[in-house]
Amino acid sequence: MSKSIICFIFILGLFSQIIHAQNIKGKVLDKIGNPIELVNIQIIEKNTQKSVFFSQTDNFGNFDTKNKNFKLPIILRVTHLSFESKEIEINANNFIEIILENKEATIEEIVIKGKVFDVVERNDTIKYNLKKLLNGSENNLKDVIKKLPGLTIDEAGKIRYNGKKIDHLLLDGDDFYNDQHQIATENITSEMIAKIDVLKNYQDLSSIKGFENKGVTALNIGLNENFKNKIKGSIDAEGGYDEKYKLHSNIYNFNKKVKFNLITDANNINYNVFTINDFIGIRKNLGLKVFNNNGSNSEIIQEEELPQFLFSNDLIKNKDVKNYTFNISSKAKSKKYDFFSVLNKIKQVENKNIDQYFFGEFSPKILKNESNLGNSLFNANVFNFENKISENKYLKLNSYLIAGVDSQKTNLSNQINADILLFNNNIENKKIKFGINSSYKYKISNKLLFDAFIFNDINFNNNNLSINSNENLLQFTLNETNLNQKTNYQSISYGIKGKTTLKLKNSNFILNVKSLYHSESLKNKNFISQSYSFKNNFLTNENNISLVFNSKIKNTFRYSTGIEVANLSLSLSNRTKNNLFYILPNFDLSSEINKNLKISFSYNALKSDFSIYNLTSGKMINDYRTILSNSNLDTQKLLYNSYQFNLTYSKVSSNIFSVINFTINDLPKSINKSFINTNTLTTETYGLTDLNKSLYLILIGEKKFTSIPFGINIESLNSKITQKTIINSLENLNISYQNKVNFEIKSYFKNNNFNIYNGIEFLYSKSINDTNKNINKFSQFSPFTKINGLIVNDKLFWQLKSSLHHYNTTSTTVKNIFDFGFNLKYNLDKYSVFLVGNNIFNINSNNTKNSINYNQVYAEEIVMSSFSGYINLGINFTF
Amino acid sequence: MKKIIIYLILIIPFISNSQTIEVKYRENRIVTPENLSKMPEEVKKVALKKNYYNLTFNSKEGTSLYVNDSLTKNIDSNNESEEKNDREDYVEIKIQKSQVTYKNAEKYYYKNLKENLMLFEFFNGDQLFNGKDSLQNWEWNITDEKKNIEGYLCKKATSNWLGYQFTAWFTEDIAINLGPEKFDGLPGLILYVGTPYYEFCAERVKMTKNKVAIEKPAFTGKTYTLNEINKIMTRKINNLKPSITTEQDGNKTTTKETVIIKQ
Repeated sequence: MSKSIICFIFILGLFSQIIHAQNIKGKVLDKIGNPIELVNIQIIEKNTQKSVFFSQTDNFGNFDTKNKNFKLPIILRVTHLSFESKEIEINANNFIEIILENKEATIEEIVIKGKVFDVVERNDTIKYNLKKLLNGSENNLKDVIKKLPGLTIDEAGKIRYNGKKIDHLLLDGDDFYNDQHQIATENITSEMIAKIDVLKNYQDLSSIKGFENKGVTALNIGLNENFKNKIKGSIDAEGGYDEKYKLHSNIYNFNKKVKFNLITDANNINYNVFTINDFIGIRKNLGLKVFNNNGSNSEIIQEEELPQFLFSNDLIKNKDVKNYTFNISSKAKSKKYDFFSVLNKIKQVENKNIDQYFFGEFSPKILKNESNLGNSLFNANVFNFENKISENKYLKLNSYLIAGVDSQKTNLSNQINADILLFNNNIENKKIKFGINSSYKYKISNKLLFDAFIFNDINFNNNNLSINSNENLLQFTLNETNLNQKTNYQSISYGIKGKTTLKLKNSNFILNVKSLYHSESLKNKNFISQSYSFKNNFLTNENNISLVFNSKIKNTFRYSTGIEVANLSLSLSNRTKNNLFYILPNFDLSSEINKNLKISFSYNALKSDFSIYNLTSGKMINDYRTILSNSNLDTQKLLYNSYQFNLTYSKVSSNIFSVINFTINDLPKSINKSFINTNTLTTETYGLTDLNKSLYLILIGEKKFTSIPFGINIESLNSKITQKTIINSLENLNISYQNKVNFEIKSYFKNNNFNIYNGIEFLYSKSINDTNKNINKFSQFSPFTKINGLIVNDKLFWQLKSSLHHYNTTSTTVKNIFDFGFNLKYNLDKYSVFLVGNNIFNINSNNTKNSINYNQVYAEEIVMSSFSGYINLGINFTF
Repeated sequence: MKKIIIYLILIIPFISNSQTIEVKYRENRIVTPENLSKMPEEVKKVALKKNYYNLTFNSKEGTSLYVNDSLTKNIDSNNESEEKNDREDYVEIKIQKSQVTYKNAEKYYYKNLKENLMLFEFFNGDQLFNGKDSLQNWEWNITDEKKNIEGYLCKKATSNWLGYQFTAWFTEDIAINLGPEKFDGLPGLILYVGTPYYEFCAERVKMTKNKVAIEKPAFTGKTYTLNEINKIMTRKINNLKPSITTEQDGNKTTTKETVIIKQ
């Protein structure tokens, strides 16, 4: 009996183990006995490996299976985010105490799917994921932009999207800095930036509903809240060996209604706040240039407008720059005012050794040694007022005052065979330009828009030239060693144009009517002879009408075709009036083959305009060995053809951006100089030539990889120019090639605050004077490396950069230049201390660099002084 | 020295206990091409729209918040298109108006795991619901099926909550009892959960030691439980019938057609 009872109890016990509800209780503690809450408790049946129960510990670390049905033995799996997991085998209902160990490592960020894009395209907006693309080692907007696929900064400091310069730079959605991208890229620090977007169809105040601006690009920089609505800024001071210094201050207040920014700078380390390109840009966007805007991107700067020295970048011996730049803009609902003012002073010394060859049978090689002292002071003030009067009306007023004084004093020696001639060639140029213009838009109905523009523009330009030499200036038939010449140029222009746009379902008709009055006068005087003293007036009266029709077919194909009829009445003071009649057709085809691939082709017939310099009745001296002779030209009809092919392939989701652009300009008849060369004199005369062809090929490609943290970009600019010139009464054929290739590979490391940039710049140019079998070649090959990062709790920024410049020219030799620089910056709360070095292996000696310069009449190979290196210690204060 | 060691030991669990997890989820409908082709253009856009949500979990407090990100907004759009046909003797003008309201995008779910509490707010149909509920009893069935989601070993679990079939994939590598929206109840973070018609997918997981304060939402007025809302909605949907109505206003005839797309 007792046996059977024992047996029964045993069976009962066994049975209970199989089917009975289990109540396993326990407590989870850490190593020092504190209870852990919210620990995952999972019960897995040992035999079936099936998960049968899940619960979490309470505030006291307790858990309870609450009579859940399952079979013993079980595995108790205990997990928690911050503790090591544990598995315990349990065979009976007991109270279990579990002690968990702390987890040593935690994971920081994991992207589950590669679906977090670097760049996202939403409708017309390209949005950059800055968190993903940047790692904190970027100092300013310039560093940031260089990391963003599709955006680049060109040599002139302008921001480009997919190869094309952006039209507007916006700060928190408002136009600011106008075209002065460099001021923004150097002075907006990376911590100020909250977001960056590219808007491909930007609509500003001038946009009228139904007639929105198309293809106008803008880069919008969203600012961090901490940098808005209060006066902020920074002051930098640095100095070092050989009296090198830089003082820079930046004060700004960016708020929704008023934004201002004042930058002052003084330095002698070849840092330009405001570049010559900015200066040209300002002039380009004003008055007559806007009026005549025919959509072409090139800008021909007349030689007489700007002294040469302003264009040299680092090919100088030393340079002093002082600058203040002030921007203010105020916006209230539908009105916007902005004012921009800059004052820039440059003092600069240049040294050059030149081998100069004048094309022509009897011209010997000239060895030229030249030193230039350049002084420039310019001031530009631009005021804009915009008013969106109503939904349908818009008014803009623009006025400007630009003044400048430039002087270039050149000392040079000319060695021809064994003779040495010494010259002082001094130019002083004073100019002033002012004007006012206004545009008005009025939407008459949903289908009709009227647009008007009215302007006037006035220019005064005085040029004083003085030359003296160790010998009599016999080249100018002057038995004296001194010479002075005064040249005055004035121009007044005013014009009006109207544009009417008629919108149909899928197409537009645009009618343009414009009328322009442009008067130029040129007065020259020196004491050599009467033939150098003249005063000419040149008057242009242009009336113009054009009709454009554009249409789209199925959203993927667009075409535009137009015709322009122009009547020009030209009169020169001492000659007869001439009427020219032009018919200028144009068309444009563009197709969106798919979402990523776009191609376009366009053709434009254009007219070349005459300037008073082409038509002088007397002679002028240009420099110590050049005379511009009186012109034999008569105003006549000059037409040329421009063809352009464009292909863009951009796949934003894969970070691919690429562009191919091919342009041909063919001038069957063009204004060109002819030359007569002797050993000591070149006489230039304006005439016509029947061959002038140029060909440009631009390739740009950028790709940031997603599987590896690297990106590459390649940029190739190529040109071929063929031109016929008359030299010494013989026809000469000049062909010149220029190729430039930049290749860069850069890293996008995230976690180690370190990045590397490697690349090569290759420049090749060749000029052939085919008639004289004269060939000049120049090549430059410069590999470079830059590494930077943040260490010491992200407080110490470090950067090393090095490049090697290797040169090859036809006849002169120059040694390689190894350029090494560094930057160390330790950031404290409001202060930072920095040590910066540039080209530090060439601090004492004056470096030289090679260049080649050629035009139709001569080729020169130049060894130029190049800027010496420096090491500066500085301090920065931010408020 | 001893003091320091004790202090350190005391502080370590405190530090490591306090972690913040941020998960970015994507929500979207699953639409068959066949169903998609039947939808009007405006509805199609909504059907294909992807919405994004941030889940933030404060491990120390045991609180979490699931909320739409700043770019995910409710849609309320009106569209009007005009078509004009010139006939020989009259002009026909057809005006097509479409209104799309999609208010399900903006929502939040607050949870307190310690207090077994869930507070939420969302639109269903045209009604805004404020809710207070306990964490749901999902009765997950954890299967043997495993798969790797971008480096995480995930296990499949299924649930038949309120009669709907849910499939979830969770990872024990991230040992928190959490998921998108109302979902939880598994011994690891839910990286994916869905029905044949709707899905929630995690796209990014970020762990930091930065403390993120999650505020408890406060609302007044009537609150519902998820079960109650489900009953209200089921009743509404059952009452919905396809219809065509025609109104005459002067010489303008407006025909309204209600089509129910059931998924």
